[in-house]
Amino acid sequence: MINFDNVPKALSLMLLGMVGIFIVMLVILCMVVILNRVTKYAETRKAKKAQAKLNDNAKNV
Amino acid sequence: MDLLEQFSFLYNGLAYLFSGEGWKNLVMFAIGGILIYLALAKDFEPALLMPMGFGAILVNIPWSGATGSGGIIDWLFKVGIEASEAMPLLLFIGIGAMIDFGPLLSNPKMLLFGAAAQFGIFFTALVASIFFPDFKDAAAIGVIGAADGPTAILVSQEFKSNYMGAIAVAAYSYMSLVPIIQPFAIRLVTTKKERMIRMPYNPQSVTRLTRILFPIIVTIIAGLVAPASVSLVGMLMFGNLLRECLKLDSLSNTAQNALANLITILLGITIASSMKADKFIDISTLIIILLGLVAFVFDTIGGVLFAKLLNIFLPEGKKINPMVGGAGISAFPMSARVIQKMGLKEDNQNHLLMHAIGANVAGQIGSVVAGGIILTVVPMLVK
Repeated sequence: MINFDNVPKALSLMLLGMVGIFIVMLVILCMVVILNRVTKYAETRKAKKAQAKLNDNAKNV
Repeated sequence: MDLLEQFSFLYNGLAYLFSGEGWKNLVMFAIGGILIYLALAKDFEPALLMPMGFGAILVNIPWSGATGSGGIIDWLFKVGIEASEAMPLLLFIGIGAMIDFGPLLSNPKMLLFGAAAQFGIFFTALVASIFFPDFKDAAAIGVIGAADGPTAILVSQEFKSNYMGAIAVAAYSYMSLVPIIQPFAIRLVTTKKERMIRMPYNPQSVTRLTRILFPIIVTIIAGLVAPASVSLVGMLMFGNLLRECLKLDSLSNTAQNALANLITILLGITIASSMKADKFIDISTLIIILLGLVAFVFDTIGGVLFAKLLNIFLPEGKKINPMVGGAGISAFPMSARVIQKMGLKEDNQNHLLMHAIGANVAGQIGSVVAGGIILTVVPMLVK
């Protein structure tokens, strides 16, 4: 019942699997960091524009 | 015809149970009863274990009409699992709709623990490969360590494993034993000083646009690396997109409630199709149950040791509490709560919950990515 023939395949799976998961998660991590920065920048710009418009309206009044 | 023969239909079933062949069916009745007891009396994943326990009884009644051609359970299995793994995948839509990725998006380095805590999958596949000559079976058994029932069922079905019943029972049973397994595993590899490390929580704010783009981009990234994972990751992220878009509240609520509950009812009882006595009562079932424990222990150890490895390079004041690494398994939210409780036990001012939730949610992504990678890599290795 005990058989070590598949152990090399299992070790290959472990190496490929763990490296693969880490690479995917690192790519997702970088993507999240970029997304957070870009979307926050876009929101800040939008907020500044809205604020500038409010200030202009206040001056006109 | 003899009078007794005329009434034989009344006692044939009972006679079979107490014949030479029938003892296995009796054992399956007991196993079904135990699963129901664990579900109802001990609150062990009742939504799955109760239907599985009852289904195990149904399919093991001699000449059961619920099995075979025309039998409802075998039909549900053929249509819902064998044909296209529809049931676990549809359940993933509901699960995705329930997940809030906010704590992860505001602290994305927790993704690394979601990766590290999948180590138990591969370690268990290694150990299983010694006992199971078919490497695909060993890989399917390893996926118990994903701590994710639908992924375990899907992978075992894709690999046409004969052990789906045992794998499902192990996966769901150990998920409910996380509050017992994880503290034991964590204490094995950490010191009290390490468990008392405090981690300040300074989350970044997360924009709505990030929450919407995240599921789309994760699906594309995971799918490009492991195309076999597209169905798994895709359904999970589709459910999440339903939640995060804020335009489809009724669909999101349906996914989280009606869909998830409906599929859970059917999935539990359908899995019982693979719990027939002739296949289930085998030494291999016992080995699989034991390997399930190995999977969960080494998942936890993998996450914790990775955190300790990172701490070697981190300055004082920025060190990670290694227990948070253990939360990187997919058993959400139980694992996060276990880590929070352990943290408070060591230091009643040390709140680790939000860090642990981030890692725990990352584990949900990690487990489906791991499942996809296994589906992609194992056929390459077996060729």
